[in-house]
Amino acid sequence: MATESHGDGGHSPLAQFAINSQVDLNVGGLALHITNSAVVMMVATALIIAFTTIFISKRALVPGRMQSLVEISYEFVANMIRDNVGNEGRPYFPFIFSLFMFILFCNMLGMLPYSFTATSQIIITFGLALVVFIGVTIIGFLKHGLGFFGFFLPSGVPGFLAPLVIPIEVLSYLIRPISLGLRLFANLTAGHTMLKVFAGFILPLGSFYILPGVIPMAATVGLTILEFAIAFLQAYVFAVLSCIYLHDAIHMH
Amino acid sequence: MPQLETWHFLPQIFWLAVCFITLYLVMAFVALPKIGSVLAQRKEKVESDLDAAEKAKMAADAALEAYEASLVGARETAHMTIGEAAQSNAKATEARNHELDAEVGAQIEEASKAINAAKSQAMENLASMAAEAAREATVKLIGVDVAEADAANAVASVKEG
Repeated sequence: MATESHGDGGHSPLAQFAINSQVDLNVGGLALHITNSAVVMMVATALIIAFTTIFISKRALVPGRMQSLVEISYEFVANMIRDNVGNEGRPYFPFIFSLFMFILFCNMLGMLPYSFTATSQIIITFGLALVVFIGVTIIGFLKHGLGFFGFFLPSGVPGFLAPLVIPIEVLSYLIRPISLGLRLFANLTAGHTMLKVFAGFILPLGSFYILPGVIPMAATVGLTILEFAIAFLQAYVFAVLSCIYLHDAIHMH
Repeated sequence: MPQLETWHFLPQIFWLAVCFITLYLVMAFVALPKIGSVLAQRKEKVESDLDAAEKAKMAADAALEAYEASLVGARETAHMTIGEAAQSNAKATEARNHELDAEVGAQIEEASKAINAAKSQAMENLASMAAEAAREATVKLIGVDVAEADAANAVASVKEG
């Protein structure tokens, strides 16, 4: 697990996560290179916009296959917000929808061979998690003013426990963006690394005999299916946790 | 781990922000309102169709009720007509019976008068015949020819008892 220099197309299972700049861009001394992850994010954004606007434009009363898919994704996220946040969550629907679709499409694009998984970049998952964390905290203070600090002392806790409970609650609150970002990053990175490791076994083992090569091949096929499930599941988990944090900020527990 | 190299943090965050903000704006102001309006339109259509069906069902129910009411009315009128016809028939029959009774009564009366007349006639004839017989009997028995009037008187007195 040695650190690889970027751009090195080595055979380490981690080489697939190497960032390299496709278009060098410096704006006012800031390096804003269009990296391979940026390209994938742009493709994901373009695909989501195309998906959600083209297939609905027919406005069919009885939806076709693709229009149904668009409507299902809309109602899936709408139900997620209604169940986890309630009616007060409606204004945040576009944000949660964008978040869910963005992570889902980035995860799925990462499943294409020779593609790149933007959500395996810790800076990107942390970036998204921080947006959720900061946004939710601002919403909490806007809704409850300084009363939002009461969030750290749940009602019904006896006073003498306050010195113990408040630091725990504060810590668990502050750790949210870390766990949120780390979960997505770790799942995607671990999954893709494992896929690469098993795939790397196929040729060396298969060149001895056919049979030992079949085993990592089967494992790779199984892991690929599992990775597709994880790609969806992690997008869902990220969106649901964002909804739950939003619920906490709006309703205070 | 290539993810922990810091040189690409800034460009990645920058392009993440660009992509995500673009996505959010398009979703919030273009795509989602459109999808929502399509769903709302469908919901409205389904509800209005259900409403129309409900109304049609109510109209059908009302028509059925009216039909049944008219059926009951028709049955009642029919009963009434039948009753009236039976009544007028009975009256006509009774009147005719009366007429016949009267006619028959008159005929009976006439006939009994005729019978009575015939009876009295026969009684008279019987008396004269008895007187005649008595005269002939007296001639044969005692050889006395009794006057006709006397014989009649005697028959009458015997008859009177």
